[in-house]
Amino acid sequence: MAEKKAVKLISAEGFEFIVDHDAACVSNTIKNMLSSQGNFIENELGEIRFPEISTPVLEVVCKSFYFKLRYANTASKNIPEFKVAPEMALELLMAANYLDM
Amino acid sequence: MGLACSKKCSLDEEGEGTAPTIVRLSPFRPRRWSSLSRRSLSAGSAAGGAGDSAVPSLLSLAADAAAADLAALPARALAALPADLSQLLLERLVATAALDDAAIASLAGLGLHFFSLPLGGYPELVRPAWLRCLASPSLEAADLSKTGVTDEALASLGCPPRLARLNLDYCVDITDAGPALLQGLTALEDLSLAGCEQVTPLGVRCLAGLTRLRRLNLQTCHAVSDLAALRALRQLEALDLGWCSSVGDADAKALSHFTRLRELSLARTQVSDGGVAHLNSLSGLRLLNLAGLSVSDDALATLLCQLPQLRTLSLDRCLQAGDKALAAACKHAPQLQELCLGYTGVSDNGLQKLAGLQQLRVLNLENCSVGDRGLEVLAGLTALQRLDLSDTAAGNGTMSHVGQLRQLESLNLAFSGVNDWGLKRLTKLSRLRSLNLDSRLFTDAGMPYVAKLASLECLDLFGARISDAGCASISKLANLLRLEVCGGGVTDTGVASLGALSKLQHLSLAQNYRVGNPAIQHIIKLNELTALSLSQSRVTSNSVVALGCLPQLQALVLYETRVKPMAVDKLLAANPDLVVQGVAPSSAASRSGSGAV
Repeated sequence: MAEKKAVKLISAEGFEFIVDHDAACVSNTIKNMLSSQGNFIENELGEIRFPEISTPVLEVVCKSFYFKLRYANTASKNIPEFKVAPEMALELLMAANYLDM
Repeated sequence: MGLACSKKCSLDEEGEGTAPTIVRLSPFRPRRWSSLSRRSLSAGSAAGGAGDSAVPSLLSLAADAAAADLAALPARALAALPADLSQLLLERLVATAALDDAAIASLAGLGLHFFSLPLGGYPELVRPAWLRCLASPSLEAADLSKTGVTDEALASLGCPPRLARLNLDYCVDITDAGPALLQGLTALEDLSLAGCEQVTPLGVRCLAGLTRLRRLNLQTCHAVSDLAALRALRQLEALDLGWCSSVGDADAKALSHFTRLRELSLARTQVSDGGVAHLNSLSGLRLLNLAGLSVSDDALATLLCQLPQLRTLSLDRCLQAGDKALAAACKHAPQLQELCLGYTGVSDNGLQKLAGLQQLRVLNLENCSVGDRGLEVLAGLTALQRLDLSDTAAGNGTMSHVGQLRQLESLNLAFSGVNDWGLKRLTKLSRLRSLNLDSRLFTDAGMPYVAKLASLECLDLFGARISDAGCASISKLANLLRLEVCGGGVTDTGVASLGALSKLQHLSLAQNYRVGNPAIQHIIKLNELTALSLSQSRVTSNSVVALGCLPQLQALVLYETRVKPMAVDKLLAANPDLVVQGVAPSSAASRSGSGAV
């Protein structure tokens, strides 16, 4: 399998977010879905649907993929704050729980 | 798919005892999602994930954001939270001290489930309304220690059918009505009522029905006695009766029926020789604490012959205990790992028997009449990690043997016969983290040897005769976290050297009357400092205010200095978390100085 292919994440409303494979694998759930071991259909198509995650929440999720990758090896005092809007907090909590990230 | 499963199946109407909602897997059951076990409860939002990255997980960020503004969250969404997420939210609220009446009002009536209430030591009083909201059928553990919970609040907790662990330590308002309320908690396995001084034998009798109880802590419950009432508690494995001054020999007799007991403390009770004899049947005991008892050497020897599984034994301040008891312990309990013989009558002759205890990790011989001759036996105890020789006649000869104990992490030589030359033998102790040298026999000459102990974190030189030269040596200990140098010989030059100890968290320079204002500029460099004592020094108000810039400082002690209240005001203004002892602030609304250094 082409390891570095982009991955498509589809929100409840049908919006498609295309992110790097490495970015998507910040989420352990997605990582498991995409790994060859799983035999998930998502692995073959390279796209995953999230009917329970709304678009703005999925957008923040994608942003946090890249945030994590960017600051993975930085000293904690240099890491800027990743702001989470309070209105979104609970939905994000559920999404982060499901995505294991 | 996962999201759909994690929603609760039904949203109950407000009613008691309706159709039970399906409760999700709790963190305390054996099978767990591996992800939940990796989420740590750390203060602030820097909760790391499984890896070593310092970037907080999205889960913790979202939980922090939700906890920060609970009132703004829509009730419908809150009610839909699965149990492990509502538990996470509660933990964030507690960790950030954001749990209060308003927060409880937001959470009440939504049918939320919690597995554990980690409220121990919470800064606000836990009221009945809180427990009414937080108690749910899924509750398995509740830590309410030091929360000021009263009998009334305990009643609001109800009887969660799965509650297995309950901690009510130091809830001093709990009376016998409290244990009476606990009678319905049939699943209880671990109950702690330490410090609940109003509990009497009447209350103890109420616990008789809790047959699943495995651990019971009644420490400092002075009125408690009549343990025969608990005879139905056959599963009891750990029982702490320390400082229960009404417990006596009759109670010890009742204890002999608890054959599953593994841990027992009878410290400072009224148990005497007769009572101790009854403990012979407890052959499975692994931990036995008999500190402060007036029992004879012979009685102890007879008992210790019967306890082959002992790992931890404390005979601290059993003044009549001596060589016979020690011999019995060493012969019949060869797996001993921790042995406390402080203030006993053990002598050099008796110490020879320690040679067989190859697994000994902790040994306390404080104030025993032992010296170099008896302490030769230490050479063979290579597993030792903590050794206390304070107030003994141990001398430099013993240090040759101690120097070979490569696993040693903590060593106490206060008021012993060891002097600077003895320290020379200790330089190979690469694991030593804590060293107490509180004795007039240690001077600057010994400090270069101490400086070689690179892993040292705690150094207590309280009364040692250390001056600036010694400080220069000490400053090489880069890992030092705690330092006390209070012998009176340190001046500003010495403090300048100590400024190099960048990791220092706790520093006492009390009684160094020659330390003055020039020292402050060096102390300011110590960014990690949380506690500082400058009592009896020559610092004055103008320089002391500079200490307000120390970011982590929580305690500052200034007894017998010429610092004025006005300076304290400025310090408190610069650092609201600071507690100053020794000088009161001048403002009328005085801050409570209850923090201890």
